[in-house]
Amino acid sequence: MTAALTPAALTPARLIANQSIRFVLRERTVALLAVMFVVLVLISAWLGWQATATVNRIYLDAAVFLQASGQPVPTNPVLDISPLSLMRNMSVYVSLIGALAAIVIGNRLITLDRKAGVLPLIGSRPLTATAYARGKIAALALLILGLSVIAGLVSVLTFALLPAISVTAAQWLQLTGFFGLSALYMMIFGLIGMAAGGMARSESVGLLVPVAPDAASDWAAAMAAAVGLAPAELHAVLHRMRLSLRQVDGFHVGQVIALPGITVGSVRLEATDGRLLARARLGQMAGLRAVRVQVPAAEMSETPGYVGQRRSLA
Amino acid sequence: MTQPILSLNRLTQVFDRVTAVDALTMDIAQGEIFGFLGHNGAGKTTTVQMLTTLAKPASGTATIAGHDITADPLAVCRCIGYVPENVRLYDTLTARENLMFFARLSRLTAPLARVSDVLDLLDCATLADKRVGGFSKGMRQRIGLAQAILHQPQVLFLDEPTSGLDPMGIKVLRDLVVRLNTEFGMTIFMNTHLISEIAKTCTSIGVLNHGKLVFHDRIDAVTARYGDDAALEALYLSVNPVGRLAVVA
Repeated sequence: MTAALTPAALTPARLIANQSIRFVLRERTVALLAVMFVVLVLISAWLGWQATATVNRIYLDAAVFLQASGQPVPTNPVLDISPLSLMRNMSVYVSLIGALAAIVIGNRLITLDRKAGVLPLIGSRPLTATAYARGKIAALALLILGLSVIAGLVSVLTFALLPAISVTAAQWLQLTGFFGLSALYMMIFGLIGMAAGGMARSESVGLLVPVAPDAASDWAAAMAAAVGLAPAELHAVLHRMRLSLRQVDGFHVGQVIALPGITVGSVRLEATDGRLLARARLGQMAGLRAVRVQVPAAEMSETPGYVGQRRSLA
Repeated sequence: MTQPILSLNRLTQVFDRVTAVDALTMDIAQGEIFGFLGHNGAGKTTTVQMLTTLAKPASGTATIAGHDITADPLAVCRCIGYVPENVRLYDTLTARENLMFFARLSRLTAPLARVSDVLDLLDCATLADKRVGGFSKGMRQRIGLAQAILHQPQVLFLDEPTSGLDPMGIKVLRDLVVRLNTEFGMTIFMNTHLISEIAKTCTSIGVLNHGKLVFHDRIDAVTARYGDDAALEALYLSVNPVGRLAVVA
């Protein structure tokens, strides 16, 4: 009854990788970062070329002047430096934009299935968790490799098209090594993005954690601090008594009102709704009346709503 | 009883010291449409998650078509199909593209032809090239069912398949389930809390109450003993007194 299977079909890991790459390439954020990365590589080449050309122009003008005045002309400083220095800004772009692009790609590779809610359906197919993870990591590696190859091609074209630039075999090798290392560097950030995407509950936190590891805890601390600043009204009640209107009407200055059974330890700290938060003792501090919070566990545990407030009072 | 295709032996699941499924033991014969009835939170979905290898049982075991769910989950996955309560698919892909992905994941030969066949079978050919993001719940449910039967599974798990569907959607899905059972011999394991669903579709019934199986019998034996839907309802209440009951007229 089971449908025929084909050994020639894509392995599940490859299928997951293919599907993930297709999805990630459709993502606007990823496309934007990838384009930005390539554009910055181009800008890097242009800036390098402009700087070199300026130095070269100044040298040529200076050489004409020196020759005219019969002074010796030093060698062109442009020729003393490696042509690879044309792309020196690229190392900055790779470490910043490349790493950011890798984090976003890694994160998206994981969250796309979570966001779509298809994990139960994928999980019920004959696919191991390892194969799934392998597929995702392969997708990440291919995407990063693709970015590195594009950036590498831009560099190669720059060197090939710019006049008066000749790159030796050793320098080509150095350039290849640079892009190889860049790919590995971005892969590390991509894996961090994947791990954060898998562990974080929300997509935003998943993206924030690799960029700012303290972001999530900072947010919680900031929230706690903000909540802590909210005004809280507290009543310190020594005694509640019932009197008739006649008795109250008869109050006069100097009258002593007896509080039967009340001691300095009878103070109740209450919320505005009358809930008992703690018991306290009447005392004084710096010449003023004060209450000292006392939390007898046996008494407090009987109070509804007390649980959870105890920690802040202790 | 014919040879059981699904055999549960003291299958148990525990979450945070709460026993969600408690030593569930039962056999389901090949070709049955088994209705798994129980109140919300009785443990029906947890049971299906264990049987579809999405969750590992805390203890006990189960075999599907002779394959142990913990020892050989991949073999189990090859012979089951699963339709969750809320079918979620890749919204930006068309129905056909979604099905192609799952067909390839099941490593089918000629996945394109198989996808077309299944779409025709479920009368969804007109939906094939539309993006799933715009589908109603009923349409999603049918595409969900399509992905579950692409590889012609021996056992099909449906978790509250009619939940949220209109009466027409319920009828269409019910007819499809019966057809898959009668024409293709699929054993159906259907979670539901609708007694009418059980009465109209199922050949056997199991009642779960707080993780424990409190009743299990063939539906013809039950109806012979108790009569109509109302009597079935009375039976449910007698074995599951605290459960919430939902009856569709």
